[in-house]
Amino acid sequence: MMDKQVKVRTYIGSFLLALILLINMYIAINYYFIGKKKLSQFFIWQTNIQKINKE
Amino acid sequence: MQSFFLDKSYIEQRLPQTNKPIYNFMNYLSYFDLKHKNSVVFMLIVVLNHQKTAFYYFTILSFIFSFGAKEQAVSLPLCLLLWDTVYRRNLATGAVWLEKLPFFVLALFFGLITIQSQGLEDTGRTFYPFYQRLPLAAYTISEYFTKCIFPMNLSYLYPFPFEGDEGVCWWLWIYPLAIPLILYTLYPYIKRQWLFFALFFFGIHLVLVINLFSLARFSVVADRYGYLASIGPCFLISYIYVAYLVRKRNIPIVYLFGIIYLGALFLYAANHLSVWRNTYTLKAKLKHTIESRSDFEELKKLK
Repeated sequence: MMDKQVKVRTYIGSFLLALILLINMYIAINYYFIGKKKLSQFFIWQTNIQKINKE
Repeated sequence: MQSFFLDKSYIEQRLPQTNKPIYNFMNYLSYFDLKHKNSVVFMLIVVLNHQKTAFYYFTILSFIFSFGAKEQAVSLPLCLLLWDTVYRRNLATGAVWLEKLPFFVLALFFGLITIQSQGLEDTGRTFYPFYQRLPLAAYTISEYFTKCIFPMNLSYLYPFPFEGDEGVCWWLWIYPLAIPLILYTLYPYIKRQWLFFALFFFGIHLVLVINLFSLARFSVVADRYGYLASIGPCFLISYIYVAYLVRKRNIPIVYLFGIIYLGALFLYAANHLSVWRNTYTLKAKLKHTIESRSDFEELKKLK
C-alpha cells in the first residue's frame, strides 16, 4: 500500500519536474513568454548602454 | 566496484572523526576578481583533519574579504551548517552554533549593507513588490536548476518576464505551486542524506539571488551566480545515475543514456562556442533571438 502511494507521488513529482524543465527550456529557446513591455524596456536599456559605450 | 556514494562504510572509514569544524572551507566562498574579468571561486578545499585555531580566524578574515567581491558570500554560514549535517555533528549542541555566531553576525551585517545599497533602481522607483517577487523567486530558482542540467542558449542577459506595473504573468504562478508540490511528492527520496545535501547546497548558494530580496538587477538570472550552486544539481544527477547503474546491474542502456547525455552536452557546447566568441557575436545572438519572435513588430511599436 505504502509502496503504491510512494510510486504515485513519484510519478506526480516527476511529471511536474519535467513540466517545469520543459517550460524553462522553451523560454531559453525563444524568450516567448517574456512580456512585450519588458522586452521593449530591454531595447531602451540596450540602446542606452550602446550610447555609453560609444561615449 | 562499489560506488563511493552508495557505500556508507567507505565514507565513514575515510572521514576523520573530528569534532572540530570545517574551517578550511572558508576559502570556498572567497572570490577573486581576475584582471576585472569574471569573478571566480578561487578554491574549493575541504581539509577536515586540521585542528588549528589559526584556521578559524583566517576563515573569518577570508569571509570578510569575500564580501569585497560578491555579496553571495552571505550564504557561507548556512553552508557550514549543511556540512555539519553531512558530517553528522549534533546541531543541538551550543558549540556548533557558537562557532558559527561570528559568521552569522558578519553575514547579517554585510547582507543588510548590500540590500540597502541595491534596494532602489537608478530611476529611484522601488523594485517589485513582495507578492510579485514570490513567483519570480520560484521561477528564478527553477531557471537556475534547468540551466545546470540543460544549459541551452546560455546568454549574458535574461530580462525579467514582466514589468512591475504590468502584473504577474499567469504562467509564473505555475512555479510557486509546482515547486512545493515537487518537494512534497519526492520527499521520500529527497530526505536521503546525499540528495538532501545536493538540493540544499544548490538552494543555499542561490538564496540571495532568486529575487526574493529587493536587489536591483536588470537580469532575472545571471549564469555566474549559478557556478557554485551548480555543484548541487551536478552532484544530484551523478548520484542518481550511479545509483541507477548499480541497481540495474550495469545494463547497457543505462550506459548508453549517460553517453548520449554527455555527448549532447559536448556537441551543444562545441556548437554554442561561436556565440560566445566575443561581445558582438553574443549580442548578435540575443538580437536575433528577439527578432525571431512572432510579435517582434508589435515590440518595436512599444519602444
